Amino acid sequence: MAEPLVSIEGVGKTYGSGPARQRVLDDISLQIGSGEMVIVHGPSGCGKTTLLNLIGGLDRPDSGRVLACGTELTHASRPELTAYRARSVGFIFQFYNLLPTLTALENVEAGVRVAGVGREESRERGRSLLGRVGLGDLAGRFPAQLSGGEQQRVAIARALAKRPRLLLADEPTGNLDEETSAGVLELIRELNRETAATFVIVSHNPAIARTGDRVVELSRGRLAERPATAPGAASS
Amino acid sequence: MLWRKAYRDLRAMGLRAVLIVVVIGAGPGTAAGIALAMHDVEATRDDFYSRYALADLDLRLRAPLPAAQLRRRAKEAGARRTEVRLILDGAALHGGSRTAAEVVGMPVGTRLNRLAVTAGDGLDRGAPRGAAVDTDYADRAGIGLGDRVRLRLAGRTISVRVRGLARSPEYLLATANPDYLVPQRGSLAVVFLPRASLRRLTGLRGANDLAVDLPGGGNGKAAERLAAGLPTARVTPRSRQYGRRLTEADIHSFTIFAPVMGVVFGIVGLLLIALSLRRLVSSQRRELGALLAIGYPARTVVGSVMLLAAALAILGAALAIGATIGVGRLVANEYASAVGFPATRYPLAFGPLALAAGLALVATLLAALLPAYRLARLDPIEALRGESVGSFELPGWLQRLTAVGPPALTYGLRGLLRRPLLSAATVLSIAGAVGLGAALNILVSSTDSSVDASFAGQGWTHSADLARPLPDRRVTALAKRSGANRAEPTVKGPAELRTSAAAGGVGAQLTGLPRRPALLRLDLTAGGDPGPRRIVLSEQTADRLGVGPGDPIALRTSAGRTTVRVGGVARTLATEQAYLPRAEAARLLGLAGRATSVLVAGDAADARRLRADPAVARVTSKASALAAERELLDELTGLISVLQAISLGVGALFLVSTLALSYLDRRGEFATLAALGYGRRQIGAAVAGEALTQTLLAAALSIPLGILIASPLSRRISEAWFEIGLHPQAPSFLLVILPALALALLAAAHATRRALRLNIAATVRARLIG
Repeated sequence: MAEPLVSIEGVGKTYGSGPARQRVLDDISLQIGSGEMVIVHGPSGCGKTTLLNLIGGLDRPDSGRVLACGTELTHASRPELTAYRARSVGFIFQFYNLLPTLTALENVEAGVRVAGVGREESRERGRSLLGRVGLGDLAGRFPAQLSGGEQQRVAIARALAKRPRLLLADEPTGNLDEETSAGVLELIRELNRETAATFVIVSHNPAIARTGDRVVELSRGRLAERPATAPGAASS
Repeated sequence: MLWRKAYRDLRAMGLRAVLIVVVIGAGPGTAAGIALAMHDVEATRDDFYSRYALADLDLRLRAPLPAAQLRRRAKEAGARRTEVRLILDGAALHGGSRTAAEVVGMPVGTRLNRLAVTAGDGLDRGAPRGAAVDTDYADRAGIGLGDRVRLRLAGRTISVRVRGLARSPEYLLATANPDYLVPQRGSLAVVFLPRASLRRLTGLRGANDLAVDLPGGGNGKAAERLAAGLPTARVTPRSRQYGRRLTEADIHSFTIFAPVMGVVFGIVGLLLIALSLRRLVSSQRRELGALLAIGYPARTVVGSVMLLAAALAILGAALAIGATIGVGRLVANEYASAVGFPATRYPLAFGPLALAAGLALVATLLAALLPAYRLARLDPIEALRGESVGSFELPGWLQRLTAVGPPALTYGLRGLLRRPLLSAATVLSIAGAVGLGAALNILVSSTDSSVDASFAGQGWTHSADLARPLPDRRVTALAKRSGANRAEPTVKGPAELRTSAAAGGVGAQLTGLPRRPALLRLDLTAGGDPGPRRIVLSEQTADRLGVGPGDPIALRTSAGRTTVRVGGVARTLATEQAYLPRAEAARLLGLAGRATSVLVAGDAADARRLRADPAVARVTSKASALAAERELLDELTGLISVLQAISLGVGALFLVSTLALSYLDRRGEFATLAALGYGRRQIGAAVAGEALTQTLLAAALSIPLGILIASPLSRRISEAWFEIGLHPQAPSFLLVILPALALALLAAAHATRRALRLNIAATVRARLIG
């Protein structure tokens, strides 16, 4: 593997103290290459989201080192982390986290403008991506006027519109029915191929594991790699 | 179980609970605090006048008469209490300054118009030259206990030692020029001496002043009997006593402000309580739905909400009581010290406290009961879905209007439209507070403008009151001797005006003016100048009598009575004034061909020479009257600043609490923005945009609201004091709007700091309220 986009070395993270102390990540190391689609799989409470938050610069490890997109996140200042999130990372959340007072297009624009892209280009990218995720006609709608699947598609468009090198998704289908989930996963897979962005997807859903290039199993704070079964894996 | 749930809910609410308690306590507490201040101020006034026994009537004579004769006259008139005094006009000299003086020779153990000694000792027969000096004069002249003051009286100079500083109910707001209802603190040196000492020191005999308590007060038949035939220079019933009139006018003004302030704070407070509680119940919808689903009856669910609301209401009511006492004491104390009452009384008053607690409790419980009742009637399945995601939609034009600037700003602006009721309540409450502050400023600037306009039209620079009436020619010569460019002898005296329709008479000062006055110019608002049997009345006097130009009125003085017609109505600073041609007024006052004062146009040296003339009792200047007006306005401004600080403080509290509640509701959204890479500047812009928009809308609304509030207040003040009109000026608004904007920015900065300290990772996973 060439120079990895994400490099995690000996990372540990503990929550709580005293009897409530819980070692969530224990000496984890992981390298993720550019353009990969990695699925972090594991049961609830195993530390998947913590690992994603560390890669996304939303949290810091107690020990070890996290390097992503050329930024050393372990000791980065708050403004450096903000800039890293603004320019290099796109997030997709389980509950979509769209801003309810902005339209679908404005939500996508909100994700782009923060990366320093101008108004006109942001709008252009927003329209184009909403079209790509099948919501071209619903660009002017507010989130409350969209279904759960549609909202998650807007969230995906928002995450991709800034053209990030790294896209992090936390249980992206956790709040969707089976049919809609399948559609969203298919869309993610296609976008991974089209954009060459690196995708790290966290899920406890075995169906998602089949869509990734690599699957890492997280259990009791330790990582174990297992072979992927996804069609994508075969082709790459 | 419900108790435990309520307790834990309260603890879990943390800051939100504190904010709701503050919202519950602030509005009712401030409203009731103003009512309590009103109560305390009235109690302070009543206590002062009763404790120090302000007389029902004071009769000042032009010359001393034997004291026994005066006592006899008082007894015949049915006086309950009588004190005869010797009161002399003159000058007080201290440290190179000379001040018009009124020296009161009074019985040492007087039962009427007693002295409130604020420092040192009162009068003592054993200390014949030991004087008590009015506190305001002592402050102004820098006089302390033990100092010596020289008095120029009846052609002699006598020296007295200050043994005490005192306030008298009779001279609470002493002024050298009582023609204007603008107190000039310390402009009159009021010096109190034992009566016997003053007689010995001046060589004068008898008494020229009678203070009495009469059956029916100072305005009844007994007062008329008492004055009949006496050479009265001035008849002052209790109701017309200068200090009392001023405090009454002042308190009257305050009674106008108090309900307005109370209502403004009460309404916005109740509005915010209703919205906060509705929001609180909505946020518990899911767990209350769970209770319904597992079989709890609706009344238990309502009880669960009401228990939490009751806990908040009790804490809010306790805070409201504290706020009532705090605001009440602050305002009453500021007010009482501005008027000059020696001590402020805080009698126990359950009414305002009960009002504050009652309003807080009832408003909170009602505000919680309605949404809880509606929620309990829901199908459990529907309730379990949690708070319904509001379908946020905007018409196209509003969508475009708010899509200005970067997305964070659009987000901030649309935050206001998401909960229009809460935003409207916040805007209204801030507009109410700012409008009230602006209204107070408008009243001050309007008073200022009116006084300036009134003085600007006057040609005189000084006014000299004579020690006794003198022939006109002598008065003119006296003025010319002093070097004055122009002089106008005038005659003044008390008169009673009556219409055939009105039951009672109206007391006024009758002033005789030259045929073509050059120095005292009347600002006529109706009719024309005084002429033969054509009287000009001040606006307030004409209003009280209900007359206008052409109407006949009966005029009575101590020297006779006649009927005249109203020739005109004039705007004056002195409320109860009447003007006739000088010869006619002098004849009616029994002073034909003589003058009691002279108006002059000259410089300071002329004024000094006038003061030195033994025929002159006191000289006052237009400049000092204007300076006194500024001083009064400064004092008023002090009180108004306190009221404004309360207004702004409550407005800021509403803004901070609604911003904070709004922030608490949207933590997930702020965390999302932070996760997307939005930093301090952008999130700050969103919050500040929201806060500033609310404040700017409130500021715009406060302009008509301020004028609306100031308008009736100005009318009422004009009735009580003098016509002040309404002169709204930009600074009146800016003085309140700018601090409000600064407070909004501070509140926004606080909310932004909290947003940036969020645990993004934890918060972002929470379901957004939407």
